[in-house]
Amino acid sequence: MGASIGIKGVSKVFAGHDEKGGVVALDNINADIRSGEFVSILGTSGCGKSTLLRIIAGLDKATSGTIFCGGETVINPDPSRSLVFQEHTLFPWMTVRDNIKFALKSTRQYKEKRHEIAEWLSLADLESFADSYPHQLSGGMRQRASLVRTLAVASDVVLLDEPLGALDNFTRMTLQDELVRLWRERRSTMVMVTHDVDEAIYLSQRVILMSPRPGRVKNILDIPMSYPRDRASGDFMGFRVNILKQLEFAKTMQEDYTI
Amino acid sequence: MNILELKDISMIYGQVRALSNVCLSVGQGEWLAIMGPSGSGKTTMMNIIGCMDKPSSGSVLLDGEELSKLTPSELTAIRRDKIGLIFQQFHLITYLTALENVMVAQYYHSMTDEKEALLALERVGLADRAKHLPSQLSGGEQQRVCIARALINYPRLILADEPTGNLDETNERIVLNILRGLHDAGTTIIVVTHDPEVAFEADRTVYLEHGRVADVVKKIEGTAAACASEAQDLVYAAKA
Repeated sequence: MGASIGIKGVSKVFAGHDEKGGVVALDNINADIRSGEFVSILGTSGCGKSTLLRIIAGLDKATSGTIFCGGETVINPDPSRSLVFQEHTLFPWMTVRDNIKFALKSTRQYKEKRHEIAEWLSLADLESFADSYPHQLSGGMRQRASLVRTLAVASDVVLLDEPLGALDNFTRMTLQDELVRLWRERRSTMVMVTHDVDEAIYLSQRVILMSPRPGRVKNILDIPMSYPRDRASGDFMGFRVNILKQLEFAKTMQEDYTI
Repeated sequence: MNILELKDISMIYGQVRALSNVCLSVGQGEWLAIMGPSGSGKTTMMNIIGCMDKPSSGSVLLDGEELSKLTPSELTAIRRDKIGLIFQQFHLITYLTALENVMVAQYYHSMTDEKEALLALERVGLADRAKHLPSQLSGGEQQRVCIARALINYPRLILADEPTGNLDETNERIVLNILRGLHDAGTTIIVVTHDPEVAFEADRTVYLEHGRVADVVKKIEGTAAACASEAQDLVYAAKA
């Protein structure tokens, strides 16, 4: 089971190049993410969602405020809080199997977890590509491999920065199913940044809606639907309209979604 | 003595011929650049030379050894022992320091030696940054960590895919100077690049077009700008 994350009064100001002062990227962000929860951070470009994720990862420092992970203050990056990016980060000179093996070795978990490699390959449906190099895989397969490599070492918290953004729509929907399956299987805490409203609703238990300039939390929404979810259900549509309205993209009031 | 020989290699993916009957010899200690527009077969060639792929036909000899006869694990061993790879993306592990990032490469070589790793960082002028995390390093410094990582096993061949693609001019120069130093010390260097300035550093530049060798240019005496502009013209001609 993953660790909880506390975001307490986090602000981030990027220093300006002139005397006008800096740009406020994040302004007093507060949120609590429960252990094993799947949460999405949703907002338009410039709302600071990726910056917030990098601060949770320990890759950037907040100007003020604190991030707690499993009760401890986050200071630096740590393998227990790994990031998955839009571009896969597999080592091109290693096969899929060696990539996972290497990740375990680099975090000194190889002896204890080597028997899990086959399981991860099977979970990612990559058994027959275990000895292929990343360039020999399709985009979707590469991202699956990248994901299980991260999960193999980071069982506590997985931070996803638009992980499916580079994929075509259909591959993306298939991988959303994979992601839900892997999360339900392992119950890591997952925090995903996305600008795709449907993706946020389809995957998350809660959605943190952010507004831009300066980046602020606009609302935190519960998505109390059971998994696996149906993208075409009325409830799904209801959440969709609600979120689009809050992001000020829905132009009309729509109360009835039945046809 | 040639360190690398590509003999009539072709690479076919379904209906696509990524490489067609390419022949190329690279001498020990030579600096070779491979240029060409996107889709010309550069990356395919890099993958074959880097033992990450096998051609559909033809043979590849590295240090006199015929690669097509080797098993995947033997190929991995060859790459590990003889080739240092540098990529445009840095592939550094975010939660490890520069020194640790170089050291984890040693896991791959089944040995860990902090002194060796520090020495590799010294060779790229980064000994004072050993304890920094990648996020605390500039893009140029991150690429130098990658070079240090590639140098850990003293490879005879450095294979670099757009090594300065993510860098500004100053850092490009620093990286090229490091490669120059390695070349002067006798290391063979093969650089795949779009950048004429990078290709200019090489002894010889091979231009690929539609999977074939379209032209080979030896380093011409003259100003960098003139050579770069000639290289640029050739690239444009290849695209046209």
